[in-house]
Amino acid sequence: MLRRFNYTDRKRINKDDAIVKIRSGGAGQIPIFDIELRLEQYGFAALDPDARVRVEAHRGNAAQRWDFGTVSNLTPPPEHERCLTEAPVTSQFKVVVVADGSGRLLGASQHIKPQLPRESLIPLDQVDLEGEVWRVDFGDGDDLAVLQVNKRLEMISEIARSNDQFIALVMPQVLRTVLTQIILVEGADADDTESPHSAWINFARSLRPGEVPKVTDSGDDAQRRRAREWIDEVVRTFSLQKVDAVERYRQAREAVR
Amino acid sequence: MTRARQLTPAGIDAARVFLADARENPSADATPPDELLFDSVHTQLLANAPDFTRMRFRTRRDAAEYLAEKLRPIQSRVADDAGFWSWLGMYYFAQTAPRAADGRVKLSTLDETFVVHNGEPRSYQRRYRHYLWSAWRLQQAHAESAAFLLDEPISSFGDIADRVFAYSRIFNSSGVVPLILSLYTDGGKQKPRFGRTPGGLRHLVRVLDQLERTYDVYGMSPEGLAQLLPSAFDPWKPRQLLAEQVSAQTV
Repeated sequence: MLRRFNYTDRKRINKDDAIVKIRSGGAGQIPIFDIELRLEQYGFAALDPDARVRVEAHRGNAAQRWDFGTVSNLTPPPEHERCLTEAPVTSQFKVVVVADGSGRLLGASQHIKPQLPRESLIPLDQVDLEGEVWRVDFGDGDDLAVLQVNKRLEMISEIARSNDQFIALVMPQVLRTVLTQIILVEGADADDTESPHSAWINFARSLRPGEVPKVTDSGDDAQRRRAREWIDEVVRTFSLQKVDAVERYRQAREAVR
Repeated sequence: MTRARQLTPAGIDAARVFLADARENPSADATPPDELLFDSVHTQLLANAPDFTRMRFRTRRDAAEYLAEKLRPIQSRVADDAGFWSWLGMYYFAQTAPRAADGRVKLSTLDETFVVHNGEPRSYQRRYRHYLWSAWRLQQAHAESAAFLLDEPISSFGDIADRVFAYSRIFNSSGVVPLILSLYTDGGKQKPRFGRTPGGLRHLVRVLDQLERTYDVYGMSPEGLAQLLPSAFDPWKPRQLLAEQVSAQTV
């Protein structure tokens, strides 16, 4: 298990105490976020009653921040100021509690995955992919994986969300791509609950309970083989139990004949 | 004088086509066609819209001051309005487009220097590259603490401007922007060799990333940040910052 040293007594705010939901701002409007913050049990007010609470949405180079007042007096910005004007709907969030004056973090919660208007396996983003129909984008560093679909194709978002042929053919491969990146490329530690990948690891564990392989040496063929076998097994279970890919595809083909 | 409008999504698409054409066939007199700026397919009316006059903006400051006065009554309504800023970008295209020595337009690969589309998250987040929006927003957010950037030509993106305009969390930080400018500019000029050397801009970005584990870097004051920097940055600090550092250490 990855060990993290915390020399500053910064408290880790549990993700269940900072639940972010994104909702539509209306047709053609900018999405708005809501956040349920429960900070009382962390004792921040005893440390510094004037400690500031700030919320940030970020993906890649884009970020947007909001001041939520102090730990003693949370004052969320009004709804029209909680619009995601500078960070995409595919952002992850973080909450920080900051000592008044010094800027030192008293508490933080990182990699908060917002609940989207439609709960889905992976956030969807329409971009110009030129000759490709879809791809998985991993952004920069700790960003969340996003399924990009080509905006040149009419109704492509609807197709990706609800077309049975698309779901049967694409979604198992999306899962394989994400797990390959997390496990084989990044060598993620499944026990690291602060990791931005923890939601994917938990999803994979729900499909295949038990130990998640860890690749500590990219040159170790045995480690890589075990990881590939585990990924194949997770994707196989996903295809059978969650997507019913073969039957879904067969019925969709028959429906269009 | 021309009453401002907003580009519709169809207008933004048409503007992109115009920009692609201007990139492929650069000419000295490239100008968006009138229908792109005024007809009802590509544009729509904007309530209480101000009138604009075409003029050259020598610097970001010139543009920011002109726009601040024009937009004051409707500022909150148009601040994030992609259609309005896209129209404005097209209206001032000939006056703001960078040009080669022979006078022909020489456009960057980013359409967002002129138009943005809030239906495309990536485009919308690149609006910091929009020549007019970024100049106006820079002055709103930082005023004189960003004087160096305000006094640059509107389409100039040197290393410092590039770093500030490419990262919205830097752009919006009331501490990091003045810190960068105080460390790496002097008397309206960039200091020599500020890029890759120890204590230079790239080093600063790495250090800020590390400090972010312990501090709310993007919410701190420039003085607070300067005090946290390792000694490699001391040669870059102006006297005033060094004096504040010494004073803080002796209190």
